[in-house]
Amino acid sequence: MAMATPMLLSHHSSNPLEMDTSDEEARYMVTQIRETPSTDPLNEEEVDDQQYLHITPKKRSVKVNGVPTPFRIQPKPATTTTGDVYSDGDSDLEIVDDEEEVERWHRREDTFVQTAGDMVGMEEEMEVAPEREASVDALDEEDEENTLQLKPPEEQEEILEEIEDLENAVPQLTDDYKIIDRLGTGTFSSVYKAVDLYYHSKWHNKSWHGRHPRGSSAHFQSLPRPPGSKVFVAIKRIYVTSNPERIKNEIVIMEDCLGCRHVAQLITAFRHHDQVVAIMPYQRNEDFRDYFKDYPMVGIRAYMRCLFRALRDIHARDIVHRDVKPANFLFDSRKHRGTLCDFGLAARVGLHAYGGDHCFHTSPSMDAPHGRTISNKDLNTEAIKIAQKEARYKSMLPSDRVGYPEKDLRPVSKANRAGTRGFRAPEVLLKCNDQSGAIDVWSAGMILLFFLTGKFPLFQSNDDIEALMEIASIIGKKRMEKAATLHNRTFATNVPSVTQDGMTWREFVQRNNPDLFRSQSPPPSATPSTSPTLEDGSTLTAADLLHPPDPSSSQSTQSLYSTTDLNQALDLLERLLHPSATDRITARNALYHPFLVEPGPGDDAFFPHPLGKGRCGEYHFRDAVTEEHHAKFVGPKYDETRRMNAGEGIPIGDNVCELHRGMPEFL
Amino acid sequence: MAAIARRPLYPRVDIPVAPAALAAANSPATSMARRALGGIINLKRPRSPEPHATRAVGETSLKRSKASAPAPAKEKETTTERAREKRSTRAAQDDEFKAKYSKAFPSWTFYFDIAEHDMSDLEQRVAALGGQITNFFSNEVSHFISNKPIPTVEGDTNKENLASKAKALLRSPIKLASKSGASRGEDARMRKALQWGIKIWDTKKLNSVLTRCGQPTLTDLQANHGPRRSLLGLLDAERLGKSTDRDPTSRHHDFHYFAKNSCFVLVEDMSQKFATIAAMEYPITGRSSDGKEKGDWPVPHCHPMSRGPFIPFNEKDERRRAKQDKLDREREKQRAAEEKRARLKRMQQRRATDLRRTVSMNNLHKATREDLEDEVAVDDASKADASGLDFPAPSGYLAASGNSVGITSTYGTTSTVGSSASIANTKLSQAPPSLRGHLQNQVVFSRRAAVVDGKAETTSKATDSKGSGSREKASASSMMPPPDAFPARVGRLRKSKSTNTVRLPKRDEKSKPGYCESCRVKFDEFKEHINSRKHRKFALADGNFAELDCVLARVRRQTREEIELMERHTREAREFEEALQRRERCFEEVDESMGRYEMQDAEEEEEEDEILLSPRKRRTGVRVDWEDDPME
Repeated sequence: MAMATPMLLSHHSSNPLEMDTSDEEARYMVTQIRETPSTDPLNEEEVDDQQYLHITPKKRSVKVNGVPTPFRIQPKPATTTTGDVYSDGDSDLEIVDDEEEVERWHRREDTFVQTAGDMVGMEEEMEVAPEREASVDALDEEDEENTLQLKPPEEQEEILEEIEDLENAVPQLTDDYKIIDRLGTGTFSSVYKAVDLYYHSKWHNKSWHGRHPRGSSAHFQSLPRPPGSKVFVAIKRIYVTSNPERIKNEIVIMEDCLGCRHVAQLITAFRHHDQVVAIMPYQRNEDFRDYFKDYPMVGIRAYMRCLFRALRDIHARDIVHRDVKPANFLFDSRKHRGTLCDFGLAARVGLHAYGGDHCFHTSPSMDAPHGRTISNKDLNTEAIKIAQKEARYKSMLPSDRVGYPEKDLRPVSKANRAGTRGFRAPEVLLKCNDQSGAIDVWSAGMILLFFLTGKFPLFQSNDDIEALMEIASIIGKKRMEKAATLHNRTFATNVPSVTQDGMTWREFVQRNNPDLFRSQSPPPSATPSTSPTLEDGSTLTAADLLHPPDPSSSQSTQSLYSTTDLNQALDLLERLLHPSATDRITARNALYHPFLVEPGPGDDAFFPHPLGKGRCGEYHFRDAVTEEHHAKFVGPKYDETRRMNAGEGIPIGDNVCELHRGMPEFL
Repeated sequence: MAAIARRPLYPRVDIPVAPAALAAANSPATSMARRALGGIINLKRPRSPEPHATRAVGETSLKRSKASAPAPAKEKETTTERAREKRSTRAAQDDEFKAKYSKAFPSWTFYFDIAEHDMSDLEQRVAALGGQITNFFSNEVSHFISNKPIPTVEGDTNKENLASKAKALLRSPIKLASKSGASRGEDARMRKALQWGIKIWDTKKLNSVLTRCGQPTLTDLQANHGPRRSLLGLLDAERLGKSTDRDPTSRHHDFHYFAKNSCFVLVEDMSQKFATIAAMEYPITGRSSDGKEKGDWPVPHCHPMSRGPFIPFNEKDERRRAKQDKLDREREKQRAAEEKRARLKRMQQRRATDLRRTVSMNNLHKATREDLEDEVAVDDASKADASGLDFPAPSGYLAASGNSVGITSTYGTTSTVGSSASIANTKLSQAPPSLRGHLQNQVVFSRRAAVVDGKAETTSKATDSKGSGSREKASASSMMPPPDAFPARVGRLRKSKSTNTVRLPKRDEKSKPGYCESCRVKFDEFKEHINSRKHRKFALADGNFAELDCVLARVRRQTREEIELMERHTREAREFEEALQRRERCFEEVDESMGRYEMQDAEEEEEEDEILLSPRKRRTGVRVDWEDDPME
């Protein structure tokens, strides 16, 4: 087994270094295959992988042998020529398409396999198959379908009632979906689990599956469900009291997020009278509180990577989620798959709520997604200094000499403050009118802080000013003042707990969770020698991979994390929770931070470009009137413009999109 | 209000606090403040922008004391009368000046020929008055700002021009800088400016104009306002609704001041365009042994054993909590066991009687299996767990996951609040005791969040800060923490927690108050509202959803059939186009060899339609050498 697995693994994973996601699965799969080859019905997602394991090596061997697979169905010779040049992704070319994809990525893999040739040894070490868990973990399709039965009877009644109510409210729903359970309830919506009855027979599922290549952590999104399997979906029932405009905003944003990694993909949405429902793929999820304490570093890394990939992709589309928190990031802690969901509060950046306010930073742009601080020479520094001095002066005055207009007739800053308490970035609390993706990055930093302190929630004051004070009491007056100035605000306080310099986030973690730093385990001594030095010279990430998630490893159990791991995590934390939005690390750069960077091609290679960007970006555009996505084809034969579905024609990394793949310009 | 908005309030800094004022304040902090600000404030007195403010410090303080003093002598009264008259005429002149210039500014274009660092302030002030600033020198420019000496004017024409222009615009009280020009260091641009009749001002002059138009420099503001302003001026300004509180130590009647000996936080808009961003007062409740003030503000205790960083560690509390948790867990276990038994019974009944809705044959089969297992291992908890069919939730905490499980942290995020409140109401009795407190608090939160928003928030906070502060603290301390330890999970089946660990209490929509964004009304009962005539009317009018429908049409899930059809259409369109292209190319070739193919050409035109409709005829229709077609 120890031998067989690595072999299988090297076939399985396009990026063998990315073991935290795929190999665990693979390991699990192997166990599954060996133990219960065919009888045991598997969880739908697992089935994907199994299929995958079965199919891909076969396909590959065909390729390697140079025997072209005659999968192609060619209705007319004349048309195939054209169809070949611009692969349409229509049903009869589907197989060809996939084949091409496999081939494309296969090539990429080969290079990795070389780099990671000696990684096999590592894999072997990793191969501590938690067989027990694997077999126990099997939650089969049937179970997934019957989750409702596990709930207390009174709740079942209630859920059944709700389901019936929903079915009555949207009669067309029952034609294609069978609602089986409730997944959650929110302020603006409820989410139900349903079976997608005709996934296999009726629907064209390309646009929401996307085409994330193997090697991308989002590849699971693109895996077609194995034939015959039950396909589950999540149905979001948006409460009818929501304004149509708000609903539209959410749907449009979800449409734009099609193709984003680790983001809930919109399968479809429809309306009956005032009731709107949105259908998304179902993602298994665990309660954050169940695993965040003492979570292994591999897990934290995987979690944060998924989250930052999601943020990177949506921020590139000028979308801010605004409500990043564990409840909105579905994470399967076993498979390390994360999905950012609930775009109910999401907004576009650059839309100013109120024009009269001027922060001392620029609006977010392509090259500065968090905006830039306006340089001093372009500012009336004197006025700023004076205002700051005044605020400091007030901080020193006796309290009964500090006041503010009682009946203030000046307009109230209408900055967007949507979000959840405890996750709001300083700029939100300071009512900045030009917020950027930096607010999501802050919230993500909060999540990392939960992992590291082992406490959740950390900040929970209900109002913005109290929240600001909580932050100020940690970062100190100086940094808070600086952050306030950035947004054209003054911050005056005489509260004794807000000290001049505060503490660093590292200190905060240290004080809240000293065990983290105590009795550091020696770095795994056996591993550095076996772990290859990668292109970027980071053996660290490789070492992380050797940090198996299960306790059965030879690791000292005294401290959970190695010093390097911890230092890297803390360094990233400091950058994520930078009080000044413009200085906060971007989602992309976070992915290249030593803590999260992965050996291999880097995240850019898997980045799905927004419309109009990427290698064939110039051939994609949005219709000014209908806002539909169009793609242009220019060839020797003809120029053609075609309407596209959102989610299709997305160039990933340095590659052209699937539609332009054959275009002469890109050959 | 407009005046407030335009006028920057930073002058409030304006520290050169008059000795009198300081004496009046007579608090240790003032001297501290003075110390702090001594180094900062430019005490030099620059040109005065407002005549009525140009009073010597001594005079002002004199006047102040006079204001409170008993009736003055008659003689003095007449002098003040005269002075007032004089002042008023000056003020009138000033107003006129200001009105005229302010009106003219938007039509002016300024070109700056000065050092960068001088510019930004001037530029801002010019812009504030609506003047244009250009970086490109042309005859569009109306004002050339430079401190360089002005070249001697070539002829009187220009001077005249200048003068007349100025006259036409205003009765300028300012001497034109060009008149005092020296002939050194002339500049080509300046010459051009003169030639074009552009006004050349030095920064001093521009500064003066701007100041008189109500755009004083910062240093001016600092040095000239506040204690030195005459009482009359202050009253005048006050009458106009301007904030005249230049002295931070002097109390202002329509200001809200923090309570004596309290702690506070004040966040304001630097440009003073917006209302106070946030203000909060924390009363000092006592002093700790080391003399530190105690109060309700957040203190980062960061105790490792504590639930949260702002919660002080209290061993007793924590122990009690742990005990409670344990108790809850035991109770939960018991409950689960009972439930299991109950289910067993139910299943048996069900088997005997009916097939319930949504319970498929599959389920039934499974349920039976489950029952059997339960029967066997009803006492063996670990085995029951391993069966994967029963999974008692760890008690005393709520899920953080699921799609925005309302109970965790969505409340207070937006104005619409519903589920969490109702959850608290309906299921309070069923929740474990520790959870109950949490839920109760949520009700408070939700209500508050529903009422408070925007400006109301700031004010309510300000006026009621003590109350809200303590309430929040109270809630924070009773907030349910995550449990310290979970029951051991070894060998336990880990299942989709989103579905089975969260015992979400009943979401009773009937008692769900909220706000309908569509009808723009608040309602007490969700169900009642959505079935109301008003809401139904909205719901049935497609027009209300027109834009949304556009989007929904775009994201509609496409069937394979549709895609195939579309592809076929695309293919056909392509074929059509290709056919057209062939034809065109063929024509071209025909054109090239006109004579030879004249006849066929005519023939083909007759056949046009046929070609397009039946591709088979292509080859026969036209006699062109198709082999050469590069496209084939």
